[in-house]
Order: sequence, then structure tokens, then C-alpha cells
Amino acid sequence: MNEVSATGPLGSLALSLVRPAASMMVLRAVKWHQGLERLGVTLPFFLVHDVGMIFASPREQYEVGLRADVSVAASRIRDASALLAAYKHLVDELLASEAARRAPDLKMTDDLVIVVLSRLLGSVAARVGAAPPYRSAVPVDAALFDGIDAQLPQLFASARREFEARTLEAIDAGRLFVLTMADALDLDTLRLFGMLGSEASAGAMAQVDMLAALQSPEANDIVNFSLEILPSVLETKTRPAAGSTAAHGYSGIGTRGSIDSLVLTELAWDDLELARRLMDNEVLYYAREQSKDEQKRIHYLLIDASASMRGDRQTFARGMAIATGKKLLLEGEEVAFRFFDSRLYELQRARNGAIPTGYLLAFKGEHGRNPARVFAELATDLDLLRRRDARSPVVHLFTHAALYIPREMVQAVRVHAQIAGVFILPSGNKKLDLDYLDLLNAHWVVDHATLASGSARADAAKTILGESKQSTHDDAPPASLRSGPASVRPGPPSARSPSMRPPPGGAA
Amino acid sequence: MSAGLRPLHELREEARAAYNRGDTARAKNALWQALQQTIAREEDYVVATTDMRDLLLAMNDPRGALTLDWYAGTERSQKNLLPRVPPIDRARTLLAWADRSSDRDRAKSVYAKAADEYEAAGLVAQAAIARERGEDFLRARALWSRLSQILSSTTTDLYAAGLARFNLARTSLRTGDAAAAREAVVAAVHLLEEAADRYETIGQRERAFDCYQVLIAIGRESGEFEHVLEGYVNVNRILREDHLRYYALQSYEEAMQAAERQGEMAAAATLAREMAVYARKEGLPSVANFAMLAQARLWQAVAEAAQRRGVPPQIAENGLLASVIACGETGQYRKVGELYGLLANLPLEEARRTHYARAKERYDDAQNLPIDAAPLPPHLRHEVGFPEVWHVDLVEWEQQGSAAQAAGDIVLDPAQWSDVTRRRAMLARLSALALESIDPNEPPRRFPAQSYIALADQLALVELYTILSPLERLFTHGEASVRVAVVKALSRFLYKRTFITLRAALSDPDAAVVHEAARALEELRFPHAFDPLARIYRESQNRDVRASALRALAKIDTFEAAEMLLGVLQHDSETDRAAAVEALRRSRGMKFTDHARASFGELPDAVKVTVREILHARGVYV
Repeated sequence: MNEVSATGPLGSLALSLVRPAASMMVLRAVKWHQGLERLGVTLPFFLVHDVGMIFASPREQYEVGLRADVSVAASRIRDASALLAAYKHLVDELLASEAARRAPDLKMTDDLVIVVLSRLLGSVAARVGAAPPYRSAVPVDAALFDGIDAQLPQLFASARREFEARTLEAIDAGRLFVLTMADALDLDTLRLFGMLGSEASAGAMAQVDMLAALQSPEANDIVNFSLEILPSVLETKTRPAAGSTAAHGYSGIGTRGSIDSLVLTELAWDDLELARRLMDNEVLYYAREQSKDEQKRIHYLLIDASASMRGDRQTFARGMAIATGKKLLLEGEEVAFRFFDSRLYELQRARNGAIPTGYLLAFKGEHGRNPARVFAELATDLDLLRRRDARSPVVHLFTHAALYIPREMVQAVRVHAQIAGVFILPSGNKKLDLDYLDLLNAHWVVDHATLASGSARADAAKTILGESKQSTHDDAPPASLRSGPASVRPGPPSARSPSMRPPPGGAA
Repeated sequence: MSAGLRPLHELREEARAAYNRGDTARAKNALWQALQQTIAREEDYVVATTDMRDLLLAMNDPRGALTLDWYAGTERSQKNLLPRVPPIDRARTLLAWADRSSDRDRAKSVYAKAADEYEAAGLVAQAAIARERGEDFLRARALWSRLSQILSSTTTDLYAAGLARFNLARTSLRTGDAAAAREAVVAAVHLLEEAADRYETIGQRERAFDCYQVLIAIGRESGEFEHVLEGYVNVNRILREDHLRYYALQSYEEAMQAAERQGEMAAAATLAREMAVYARKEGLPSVANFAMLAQARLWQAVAEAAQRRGVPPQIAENGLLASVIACGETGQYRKVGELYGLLANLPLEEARRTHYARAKERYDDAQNLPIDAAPLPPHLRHEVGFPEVWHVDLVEWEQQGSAAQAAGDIVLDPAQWSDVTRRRAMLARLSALALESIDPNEPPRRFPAQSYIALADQLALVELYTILSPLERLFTHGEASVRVAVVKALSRFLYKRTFITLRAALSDPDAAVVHEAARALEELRFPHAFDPLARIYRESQNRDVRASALRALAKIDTFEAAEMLLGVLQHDSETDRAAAVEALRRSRGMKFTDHARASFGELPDAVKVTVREILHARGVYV
């Protein structure tokens, strides 16, 4: 190991105050270090390693204390003793912080740790004012770290250490700010990432989204609102449906199945009639309780991101979209999210049960709106989709009540998809007055007073979530269209006409 | 007065003598020359206008005479002329009388008469405005309703239709018809949002800016804060994108205040945060600190409001934590300690409260760092408010590019415009009156091209935004020489809208028009001209046009322009590179020097040599 690109970063561990129990753990630190550099946060490896361990690993998995004698640091850094003492003081305070105490329980992914480190140490990196004399490239090999402490004096001496010295000075100068950031770290957001997944668009883009979410005070409100309504959602199970795979118990009778699940009375038919029933697919089988054989629907969650949504409206709309998405995923449905203002933005699919949470929290729309254009684009997209995909699209719209889509555009979308809408009434307005409401399969209205009241807001959200389940699965019109609490207003009587009901088969 | 000009009294003498001889043409010519001296002393100039008015009356030109009387005459001197001029001139005169009247009741009746005259002239929008000024909202509303119907059924001008609907909403509100007002607001918002998006799509951000300003006004009128917010956020974005940083920062402040007044503390805090980020990026640390402290205060207000509303304590906690971070970023650690104290008192779970109480102790002895925090200083502010475009732009739409009407409005507004500007507008109107027919349905009369060229030259001297519309109409003239004169005139109009006609001129079938348009481009070198200039450079197939665009861009001292020119040096054709080098050698903007120095290490060797030469020519050595 002679390359300074490896010995440079590794040698900085002579300044480290955290010794992990297993070499494998350090490999995560290598990944964090690379990730931070990609985000433009350049810091010595030892600092990323130490602070990362504190926030990502349980306390029993590492020891705290200098890994090399102070004299090693003093050989290259002036005032090493005082700077290391200041660093030790910071590490001790970080260890005592609530964030460090609780964060390891969150079992953060590496992407998330990188984002947290960027948030905490970004100001330190900005203060350093010096570049490392080496380009960091530590091989991802656990063997490198076996017994590395003995080699630290030699590794430390392999490169100039002004960068590390400037970093220790920056830590000393910015100690209070680092601690302020650590104390103010929003653990709920981290918890939400853990619950919903943060890997839907893994990689640098996911990190950027997550960092933006952590930096955004508005996102915290969405997180809290989501956490308020999610427990009811997490009880959702995959909806049982009749299937043919040999698992679970019998749930009913169907016309598909294998010979071992044939209803025995079928054998009572004479041979000719049995043959005819087999040919006409009339033979009955016991059906199993399990998930559907194949997906039949794809849900598009369309969220208004125009500037007029800022504030409580944005919190409600995005919180609802997150909860609805999670609920649908748990039911085994396929889900994709799209923001719109005057443009219809790129589709973000939920993958492997994970929602693109960072994206949903951090997306910032700054344009006005042009519903005619957006819904024309949506209709075209859905038309193309239907040509190559047999699944039925369901559009869930989250917006405020001043979304004046031309009626013919709603009709164009309605040709291809079922539509349900959640409308937030503007301040100072008490009535939803849109000429296309009767074209929607279901819609709910939330007024300004409800948004301003915490419990009413959560109740409204839970009511909609409960009813949307009915509206997307049952043949009957959703309960909201028949009755509902005052804050969640039912739609107009016209929306109850039979023609507006979901088609037989349960598709939305 | 320059050596070639004859004194005014001499010209007046000549006119008087010619008139006495019965040579009215010569008399008119002498007075016309006298009036061209638009920087003459006011007393001398007024006498010349009076002479010319009397002469035109004698020559049976009451419209011209009234125009001259508008400059320095009185109600008494104009009264006798009114029966001899068409309704449109009577209406304009009456409107000016009413505007100047200090007797409110009399003013109302004069506004009503002006409105009647406008209606007689078939000018619905201007009639409605006169009714509004006379506080006759019921009849104004009927007129706006009529105009809305006309615009919805006959034009594709979404912007004008949106403005008419907004005026209908305003007047419906004033007449107590809330349902009609609501319906009109819905339609206005819909039309303006769509118009704004279309304008942005075709690169006319300045027109979209107007749409969003109207959206703010709609939100204020209707009490729907969502429209105010959408308007402000987009206005701020456009101002940022156009590098109008002081306007943008001022607009951020206004938006914050509007949100705060409405009790929308979270929206106000978000705007403060964006303002802080933008001010820091623009190198204005004291404004950034001011915005950051405002953000801290507003997030704390969010927390207090949340507690009052009885929402879950986590919402208040979020507000206080956001305030902690804002204070931390400005080094206000004592305040951070106080905020942790508030957090420790929230009804949160015990572990969290203990954590906050412990965190508070850390700041017991902490001090606030001394920082410079101040709002945008008064000398960088623009106190002129946004015009009432819902009136102004509909008037422009209704005038259909008439130079006589646009210039007439300027002459009649001494409160807003200087004497020199009004004199120039008066001359332009006198020229236009002869060329324009009163009745829009009347087939256009044809005059020699020279008459239109003279009009374009006179309009050029006015240099006001309202003159763009007449120039745009003149540009549609069939004679290339007229179009050349228009393009030459446009080079004096430093507005983004100017580029709309210039871009059309750049693809004119006549080479002389294209050549003049390329020259005009080089005069339009203001910071927010970057986008249209860059677009012209990228889209033009004509290398002379591209070179002109590069010359103009080299004189714009913004980072975007510097970045683009460095890109041209690296990637574009040899001809374009040569044009860029020449332009950069002559310009003195520091942004290019800074950017070139910062990127120097990463440039290919050949480009390094070029950049070094350019910087050497400016006396900078790398």
C-alpha cells in the first residue's frame, strides 16, 4: 500500500477517536467518504469515519479514544495536542446528543448517513479553505483495516497534513454550529425514510433529494403529518384475492385451478358433459387465498407543486400522497408519483416497495399552473401507456380547489383512466366550484379550517384514506359521496349518478 | 441650441409674415421647424405651440389644433374645439379635465361624459375605465362584461381576455355581486395562468411577468392568498432569472410582508429562506443576514401559531427547530439557547424535552456573533409601483398600435412625463394624425413611405414603453425602408419586448432590414437582455447577426454572459470564435475576467492562449 491516494486518507485515522469493533464496519466509512466527495463535501477520512460511526452504529460496536499517540499527530500538525483536545470535546458532546443516541436505532442506509454527515459537517468543509494534497481512493477491502492501528504512524507520515490541520481548526471554530445542527437534526425525517424506503432512486440523485429534504423546514411538517396518519396505513395488508397457487387456505370457488383443487362433485358429471365443461372452462375448482396472480392496475399520484400550494396545503397534499402511495404498495398495487405545476414532471416509480420519499419531500415547484397543458400531456401519456400496457391506470389528484382543468381535458383523461381527486379549498372560499367534478370517480374536499387544526386534519386524511380504499376497490360509490364529516365534504349529487360509478370488476 | 438651428422668434416671425401673405404652407413649415426644438425654454416653446394651434385652426385642422392645445392650453381654450373633433379626441380631452379637477362631483360628471364619448367611438375598454374613475361601477361592470364576451368569442389573446375578466371581477365586487365576481375571478386566473405559460414557452418572460403581477392583484381583490403567493413566487423567479437582483430582493420583502399580513407564517418563512439564499449568492451578506433573521423570527411565529391552534406539538417543534438553524447559521447562539428553552417547555415526550433542556445549557454562556444585517438600502429600491396593467394593457390592446392615440396619452399627462417627452410625443401625434384614419373599419389610406419614416423617427425620440406598440404596427408596413426606420428607432428602446420585433426583423426578406436589426442588437446591452440575445445567437443562421449578438453579450457584465462567451471560445465555429475574441477585447466587464481566471486551469491549451490574449488586451495577466 504505497499509493498516496490510499495512504493519505487511511493515515488520517491517526487523528481518529473512534475504533470500530470490526474491520468490516470501516468499509461503510469508505463509502460515506466517497459519497460526501461526490456531493462536494471534502473532508478528511478520519472525521467522516468518526462522526459517521457515532450516528450509524450502536455504541457497543465501537470504542472511543485516540488511536495513535499524540506525538504522531504532533510530528506534522502544529498545536496538535490542543486541536485534538478540542476535537475530543466535540466528539464527546456529539456522543451525548439525542441524535447520536437515537440515530443508530434507525438503521440508516449508507445514502442516508452520507446525507446526515453532509448536513452536520458541510459547514466545517466550507470553513477549511484548503484542499487535500491527495486524491482519495481507498480500496474497498476489509483486510486493509486489520491491525491498521500499528501502521498509523507510518501512514500518517506518508503525506502532508495541512488539510487535516485546517479541518481540526475549522472544527474548533465551528464547534457550536456543528452541535446546533446535531441537536436540531430531524430524526422524524430519518425515521420516515426508514419506514417508507429511501432507495427508490438510489445513488447521487437520491442523496441530493434526501439532503434537500433534511434542509427544508417545510419537509419536516410533511414528515410529521405523514407519521401521524401512517400508522393506520401500515395496518394495510395485501388484499386477499382468489388465486390458483398451492399455498395458504381455500377462499372460494373459481373456474381456474389445477386437478388437485377440483371440486369433487365435478366428477359426478358423465364423461361427455365433463369434457364439455372442461372445454368451455366451466369446471369449478377450489380457489386459494393469496395475492392476485398479476397486477391489473397502476396508480398515478399526481401532486400539485405550483407555488400556490405552499404552506399547509403542500403539507396536506404531499403527506396524503405519501400515505396513499404506501397504502397502495402494501395492497400490492403499482404506484408512480408525478408533480405538476405548469409542466407535468417526470414519473417517479415506487420500486421494491420503497417510495421516493426524498423526492416527494424536497421537490420544489416554482412555476404557475397550466392545467390545460398538463392534462393534455397526461392524456397523451396514458394513451401511449394503454397501447403497450394492459393495466388500468388510476389517477389520484392532490391539488387545491382552484385547479380549472378544461372539461374536455378531464374527459380525455377519463377515457383512459379512473380519476379520484382531493381538493383543498382556498383560504376565504367555502365552495368547490369546478365544472368537471361529475367526471371524477370520487373526490374529497378539505377546507382551510381543517388544515389549520391538527386533529381535524389527521381525521380528514384518515377518512379519505379509508374511503379511497372503497372507491378504488368496490363497485359501490365511495362513502364520502354519501356522507362524511363536515370538514371532508362530499361531492355534489351529480357525482353519485350510476354512470360515474367505477366499472364492474372493482377497478377504481 | 446648436449653430444650425434658427432662433424660435425668427421662425415665428417668418411664419407670421408668410401667413399674412396667405402662404399657409410656408407658415406651417416655419412653425414646424420651431416646434422641433424640443429642448427650448418653456415660455418660448408654449408661444410657438399657440401660434401653430391658431394656424392649424385657420387651416381647418381642429384635431391638430387640439393636440397643440393639450400641451399648454386650458379647458377654456379647448372647449371651443371640442365640437369640431371626433368623439375619441373629445373623450380624451374630457378625461384629462376630469383627472385634473379638484371638485369631485364635477369630475364624476365629466368622467361620465368622457365615457359616453368613448362608447360613441366604440372603445369599450376606455369607456369602462372612465366609468370606473367616475365611480359608476354598475355601468363599468356592464362594459367589462361586454368586452369579456367580445374577447372570449373573437380573439385568441388570452392575456387581454384575462384582464377583462379581472376587471369584471373587480367591478362585480364593488357592485356587491359576489357570485359574478367569483365566476370572473375563476376565469381570469385560468386565462392568465395559461397566457403566462405560453409566454414563457416562447421566451417572452416579461409578458409572463405581467400575468403574474395581475395574479397578485387578483389574490388581493378576491382574498384568495393562493393567487398572491403564486404571483409573487413567479415574479421573484422571473426577476432572478433576468438578473434584476434589487427588484427581486425588494419583491421578496413585499411577498414576505403580504404572507405575514395574511397570517401565512410558514409561507413567509419559506420566502425569507429563499431570499437569504439568493442574497448570499448575489454577494449581499447583510441582506442575507437580514433575511435569515427574519426567517428565524417567522419560524418562531409559526410555532406560536401552531400552539395557539392546538395542533400536535411536533409542528411547533419543527418551527422552533427551523428557527434554531436560522439563528445558528447567523451565529446568534444566545438566541439559539432561548429557543431550546422554548423547545424544552413543549408538551413533547420526556426524552425529547430532557434533550432540549440539556442542549439549552450549552448556550448559557454563548454570545451572539456580531453581524451586519439590514434590508435592501433605500437607494437600491424602486419606489414606483407596478402599473395597473389590467387597465393600461387593455387600452393598448384597444388602440391597436395607433401612434396618434399612444402619443396623445403622453401629451395629456404632465404629471408623469417631462416637458421634453411631451413635446416629442406631441410632434409624433401631429405626424400620425395625418397618416391614421379615425375609423378602424375604414380601409387604410396610403401615403409615401417617407411620411412613415418621419413618424418612426419622431416616435424614436419618445423612448417610452407605450410607444413600442405603434412601432410594432409600423413594422408591418410593406416598404422595407419603413421597416428599416422602425428597427433603427427600436435600438433606443431598452426593453425586453423590443426583441420581439427585432427577432422578426432578423429574418426579414430584405437584407437592409436584417442589417439594421443586427446593428440595433448591439445597442440593447442591458443585463436582462441576456436571454433574448443568447437565443438570437443560437438560432441565427446569419454570421453577422451572430457577431452582433456576441458584441452585445460581451458588454453585459453577468456571470451567465461570461460563461456563454467562454463556451463560444471553446466549442463554436472559427468565425464565431473570432467575433467573440474581438468583442471581448473591447469590453471591460469584470465577470468575464473573473470567470476566465477561475476556469483557466481546465481550459484546452489553444483556448488558454486565446483567453490570455483577451485578458492581456484588457491589462490583465494570467
